[in-house]
Amino acid sequence: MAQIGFALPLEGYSRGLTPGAESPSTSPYMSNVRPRDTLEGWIRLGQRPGMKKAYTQQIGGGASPIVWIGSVTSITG
Amino acid sequence: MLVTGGIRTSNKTVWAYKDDGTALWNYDTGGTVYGIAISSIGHIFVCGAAADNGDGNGTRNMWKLDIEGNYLTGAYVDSNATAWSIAVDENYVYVTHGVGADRYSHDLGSQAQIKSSAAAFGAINVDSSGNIYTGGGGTSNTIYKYNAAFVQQWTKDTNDGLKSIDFLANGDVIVCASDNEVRKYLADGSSPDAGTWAWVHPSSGHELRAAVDSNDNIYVVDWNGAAQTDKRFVELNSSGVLQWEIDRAGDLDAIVITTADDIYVVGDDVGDYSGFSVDVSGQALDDLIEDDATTLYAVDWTPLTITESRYKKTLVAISNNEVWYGPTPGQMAEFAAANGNFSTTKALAATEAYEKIFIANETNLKVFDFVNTKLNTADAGEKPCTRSMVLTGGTSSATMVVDYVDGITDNSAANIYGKRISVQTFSSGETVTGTNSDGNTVSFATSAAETAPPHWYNWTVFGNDTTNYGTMPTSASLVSLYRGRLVLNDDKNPHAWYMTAVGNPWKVLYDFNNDDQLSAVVHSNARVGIIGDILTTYIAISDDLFIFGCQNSIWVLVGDPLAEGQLIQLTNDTGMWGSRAWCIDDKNNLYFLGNEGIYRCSIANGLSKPENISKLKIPTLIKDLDLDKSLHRVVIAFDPVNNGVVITRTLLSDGTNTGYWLSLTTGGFFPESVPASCGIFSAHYYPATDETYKKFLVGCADGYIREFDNATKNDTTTASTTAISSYCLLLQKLGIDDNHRGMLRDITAITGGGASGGDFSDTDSIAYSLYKADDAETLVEDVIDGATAFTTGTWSGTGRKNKIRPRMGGVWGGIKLANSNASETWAINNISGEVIPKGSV
Repeated sequence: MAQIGFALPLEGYSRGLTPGAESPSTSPYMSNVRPRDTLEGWIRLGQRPGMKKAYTQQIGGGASPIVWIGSVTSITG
Repeated sequence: MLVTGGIRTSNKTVWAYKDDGTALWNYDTGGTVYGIAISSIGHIFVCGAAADNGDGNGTRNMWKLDIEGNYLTGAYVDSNATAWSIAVDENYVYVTHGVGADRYSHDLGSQAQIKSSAAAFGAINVDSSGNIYTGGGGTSNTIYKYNAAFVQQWTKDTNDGLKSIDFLANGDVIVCASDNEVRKYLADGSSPDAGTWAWVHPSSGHELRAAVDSNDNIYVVDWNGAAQTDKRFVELNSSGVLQWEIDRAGDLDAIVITTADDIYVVGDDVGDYSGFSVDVSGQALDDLIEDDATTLYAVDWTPLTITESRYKKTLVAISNNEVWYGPTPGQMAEFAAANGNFSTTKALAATEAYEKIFIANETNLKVFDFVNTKLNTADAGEKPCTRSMVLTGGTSSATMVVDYVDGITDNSAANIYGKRISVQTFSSGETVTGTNSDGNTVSFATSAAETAPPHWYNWTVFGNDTTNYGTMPTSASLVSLYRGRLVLNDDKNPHAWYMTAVGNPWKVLYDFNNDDQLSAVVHSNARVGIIGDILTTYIAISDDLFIFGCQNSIWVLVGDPLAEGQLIQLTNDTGMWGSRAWCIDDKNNLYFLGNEGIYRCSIANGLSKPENISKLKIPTLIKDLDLDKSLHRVVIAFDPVNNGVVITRTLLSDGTNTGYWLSLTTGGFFPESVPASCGIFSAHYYPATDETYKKFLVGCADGYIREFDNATKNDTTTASTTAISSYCLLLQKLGIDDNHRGMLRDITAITGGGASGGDFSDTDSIAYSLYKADDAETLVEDVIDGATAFTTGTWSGTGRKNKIRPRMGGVWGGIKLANSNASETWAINNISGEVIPKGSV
């Protein structure tokens, strides 16, 4: 009887070699997971963070893509 | 920061404190202070008894200080002795005095009369719609409501002079007059004179002042003057019903409630303290401002600190032919002057430079200017303005250093943009003069008072003077800043790049005679005799390296183009996809989408040759993405919050997307996708001065700015939320070799969270599906094709799960973990099992 561990694919996605020849720390089939979890920020497999609106305003006033976003520093005092 | 004002003590009348009561600074107006109002950018407006504090500025009853307590300007309201109350909004300052109420511009220069009165006015305030409420103090017993154009809406008889005005969330008005009452008036004016309701102090002779918190709770302070008993601090609910009160010795004259609903009150000293914080839950006042010789009549609060007010970092976003920016933290608003003045359906690039945003939008070259003051004139005058000259207002004595003008033609209109360096401001109709760089006298009359930034205007050469300043490219879609030069391309000559003169974005003329090595320059990247490659990307690496990404090559400019700089071809093995498909991480590694995948090169010590980091793990990346510049937007952006690189390809037409998260913690690529409405079109790490807003932001397909948030378990779409579908396949060989099977007898999983509840956050459920096959490729194919699993189940709860005993045999085994439930997320620590031999295949 042998003890085995299913390695968590913390090195991400890989399709460069045939399945089985890849590093066990990779996976050929995955989506929306990251190697740092959202619960405690630890390095372990977990679902990616969700997207939330950072501002309530809809830029452009309608469903149109934001083609550029940036910031500018200016002196006030 | 709290700012208080009151009786002159030790030649001081205005005092600033941290929220914990630590003294910061003080200022002397020369007389008693009765009112304080602080603007959103930390300017402090003070009103009180007329006084001359000997600083050479004469008698005033209004003062404007900066956030460090330095005097900026002042005014003498209607030559009357005392200014009693003051309020401020984004545009104006409102003040009451002995003969009514006035409105001023923020520089206290432009005055407009709201109401003239025979008797003194007391309180004044302005609601979120710009409606002004004010009215009588002393013997005048009326509250007035005016709209922003000073048109009276209604009046009520308050039975005594006004002491305070504040607002409920719906705009209804909470008013205190001197007759012991707190009254509510409906904003529409339909309440009777006695108010919709009134709370009456049990004793007579009390002057009350009230403030409202964000939950419409009303807090009341009490001044009684001579009497020293029955002075109360009171909480009422929004219907005027008493919640609790405390009886204390000593008057309380003013109250302020912060944006976090912290409450501070000031008044007479009690036990050596004249300022207190309110403990609502404990129904008590806690000592805060220690001064046993001061009576304080006024208080206001600002979230700004002294260091923050020196500069600001404004977020800017562009969508739907509109430019939006954040004039106040946490809010975005449209800058209306830019509306429709350019086209977001055309290629657009922008860069920050000189406190402005420079935009290259093909034939629309624009400037969004956050620094300059603007003057306009109907006649630019005989002698033209030149850059860096000083202009002085003949009436106001205001002064400005010229940055840019859009016209220099005599008898023609012009706008002049420059940095005002005086406290005084330019007024309408005054003659402005100066000496230009040729030694000639410039003179013109202003058509209007100065306009404060921001401004939106065409990016042209100085004065549109092509003879002396050159000709801008007619169409450009790349822009950057390098060594003080703005760098543009020319869509009509796609191999050519322009660099403006150093420190002068308004000059593109090559003028070595006058500008020496600082001159503007035009060049291309090619061997002699060959037309250069088409430019696709500009990347400035501080002031040392400038990268020209081209279609099939990459060039690097080391140093300055006119001061012994070198132009080198870094590689012709790959080009760069485009202006948003690159980023630099916190270790000075450059990542970009090249011709054959994702590349990385170090810029820490010079520039290394790019390395294709996706080739080994995702050899078909480019084929899979099937890129087409007419169909797709590619964004590559470094997210310092989560320590990785976002790589996305988004369909321009509807936001449908695919991409990867490149983890800089483990070096792996992790496939990701988001809902189409959240498809990423732009990204920016916003280094806000307020930590609350310092975030990695993405500009999305539906016009919303979003962030990746660890506490958010769904994706927030335009008007709803969408569950995140996450899954991952773990492969494990069960047999001792390819010709022997193993039997997976049992599996144990440990999911995230430790014990349920507790200090560590708990995972939600994880669905598992087990697969087996005699070769790994067949197993993976079965999973992808959705074949029936050997067995399935769900791990619910946290920590070590009960063993499952699948007794599954094969050469290879696989576990697919998944969750697509709304409002759930998961994390797993490890999965282990026991295998026994099963025999030959």
